[in-house]
Amino acid sequence: MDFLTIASQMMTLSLAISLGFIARKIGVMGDSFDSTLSRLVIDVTLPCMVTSSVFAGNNTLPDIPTLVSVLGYSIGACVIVIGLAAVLPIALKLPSAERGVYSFMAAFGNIMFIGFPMLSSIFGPQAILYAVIANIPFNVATFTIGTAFISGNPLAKKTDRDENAPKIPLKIKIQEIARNLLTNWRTFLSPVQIACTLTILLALLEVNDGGVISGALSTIGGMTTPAALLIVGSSLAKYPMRHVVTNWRAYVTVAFRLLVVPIVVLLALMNFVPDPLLLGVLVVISALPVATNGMLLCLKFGGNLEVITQGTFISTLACIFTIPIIASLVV
Amino acid sequence: MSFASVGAQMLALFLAILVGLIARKADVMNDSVDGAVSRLVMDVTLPCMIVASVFSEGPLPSPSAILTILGASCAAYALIILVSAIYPILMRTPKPDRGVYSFMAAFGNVGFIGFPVLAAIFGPQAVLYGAIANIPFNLAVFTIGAAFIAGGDNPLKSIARNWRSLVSPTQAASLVAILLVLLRIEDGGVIGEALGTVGNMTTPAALLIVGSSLAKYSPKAMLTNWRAYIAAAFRLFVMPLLVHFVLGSFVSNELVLGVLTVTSGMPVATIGMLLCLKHDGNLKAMTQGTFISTASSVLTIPVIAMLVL
Repeated sequence: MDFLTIASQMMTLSLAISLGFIARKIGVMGDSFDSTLSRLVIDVTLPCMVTSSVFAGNNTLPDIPTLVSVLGYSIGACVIVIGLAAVLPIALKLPSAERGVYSFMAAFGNIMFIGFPMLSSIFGPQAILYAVIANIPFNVATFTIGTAFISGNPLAKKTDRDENAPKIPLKIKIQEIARNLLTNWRTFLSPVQIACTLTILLALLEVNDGGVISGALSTIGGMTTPAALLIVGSSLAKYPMRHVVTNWRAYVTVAFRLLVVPIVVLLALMNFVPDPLLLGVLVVISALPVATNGMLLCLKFGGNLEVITQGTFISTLACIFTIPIIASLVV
Repeated sequence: MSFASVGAQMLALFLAILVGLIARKADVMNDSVDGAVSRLVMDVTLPCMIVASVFSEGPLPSPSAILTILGASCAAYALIILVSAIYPILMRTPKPDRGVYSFMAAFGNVGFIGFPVLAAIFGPQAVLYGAIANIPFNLAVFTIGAAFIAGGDNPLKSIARNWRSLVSPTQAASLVAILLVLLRIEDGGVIGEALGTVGNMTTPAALLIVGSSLAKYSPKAMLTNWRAYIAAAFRLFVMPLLVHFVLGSFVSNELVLGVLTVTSGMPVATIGMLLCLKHDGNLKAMTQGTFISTASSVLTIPVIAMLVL
């Protein structure tokens, strides 16, 4: 991909995001509007976009061994990303209580809300099918390892309180994670998850001609990218700009998230993954801004909310420029 | 384009409306979502779509073609408004309600249903034609339309009350589009792409809102007024046929004629309900007409589209 394409992608993204930013400033968009619109996107248009990806490939679908290999490669990518993320805070010389939040920021990107629309606009709707599969390991990891990263705090405090207490045994940690999975089981029944499952099912059954239904799904799904960009713009406008982030570790983590992690994934996988589209999807998926559910998990488990908000803000702003660069390395 | 493919396009739009209806029933959509999203569509995404239509593929219309579109569109609306003003008298509508029925027959939902349908049937270039043709409509709806509904009020007064609505973002975008065409700016570059990206939200968002707004009313209360059916029939069938056959003898450009015919077969404009609220018109009749015409347009628009293809 040449420089011009990259630059024009950046401009397109930033202009669309700026429109959302302006819309917030002039009061067309606002907090309650953003949340209603993003609910509409997450519950209706995103599932439509996901499902319509099966029908996007001109009646050709990857065969079952390919789909299985996609899952294999994405587990590989996920392991690399989480491995890197676990090491980063130690390199940043963070106190152990703070490490989890930074690891979370480095490990988990906003795949659904930013990843899917980005992938669809960079690689076309066929990329979504791969992304749906690649999302599986990351999704499971968010609610297990991701939760453990952020809820690491309370467990650590418990040990501090009682010096004589034995180390938190693995069993309790696993119980904690299992309980979290159980309380979050509903997220696996959300419309997007159902659409993802349906998409994989359709791909496995090799249903690739949706007829008029696919037209309707892609019509509605077409709302996802513009709506997501407008919401991103509006949410950036919400952040008090005068509040300059002075936490250097947040910048390092964001650089790690947006640049180092995807480049490592690219270098690690480029000799194994034959399909450029698949490689592109795996790399871009690991180059996304910090997942917004990180903030929710911090609220729930008492993680450092300020740090994760900073990381989410900086990475969302910076990804406008880094994603086209990363994508250009692959295509 | 063939009959089958237009049918499939329209069916896809219909299914999208159905999804909006289900979303409302499932409580994903509600009044506040509809209000907020339609404001975003009217103020942001539709203007983007209109300006981006200049940069779509296909030759730009020449300045004389723009004049033709504007002229033909003015003629079409003159005809439509004339017929709309007369028919309520023929169906012995009580005098205070006449204006409401006139409004229903005269003004269609071009923004929310017209542009998506034009894009689906004729492609993005038709959106440009539609935007130009829509300029007289926008002027008429807030002057003559408001006067229809205000009824006894001094028409000038109602115009004065609505003058701000004449300078809407959509109207401004249409003027910008004409300016770009006159300056022969065909390549929007990055800005064109960004506008296109945001503009792409218009069709899906509009269809979802239409679906959701249909789910709001109980069909029982909506279907009991016979005059509303006549108004819907005028709106959906009589007007486009009239425009097609009367203008057909003057307008030789097929795309222009097609765009004018299709846009004059749109269901009752939703602004009508707002104007009724503002000017104390018969809101119930207006809602019934809007509901009946919107629900049946799913069937009538493809029929009208067949006529022009």
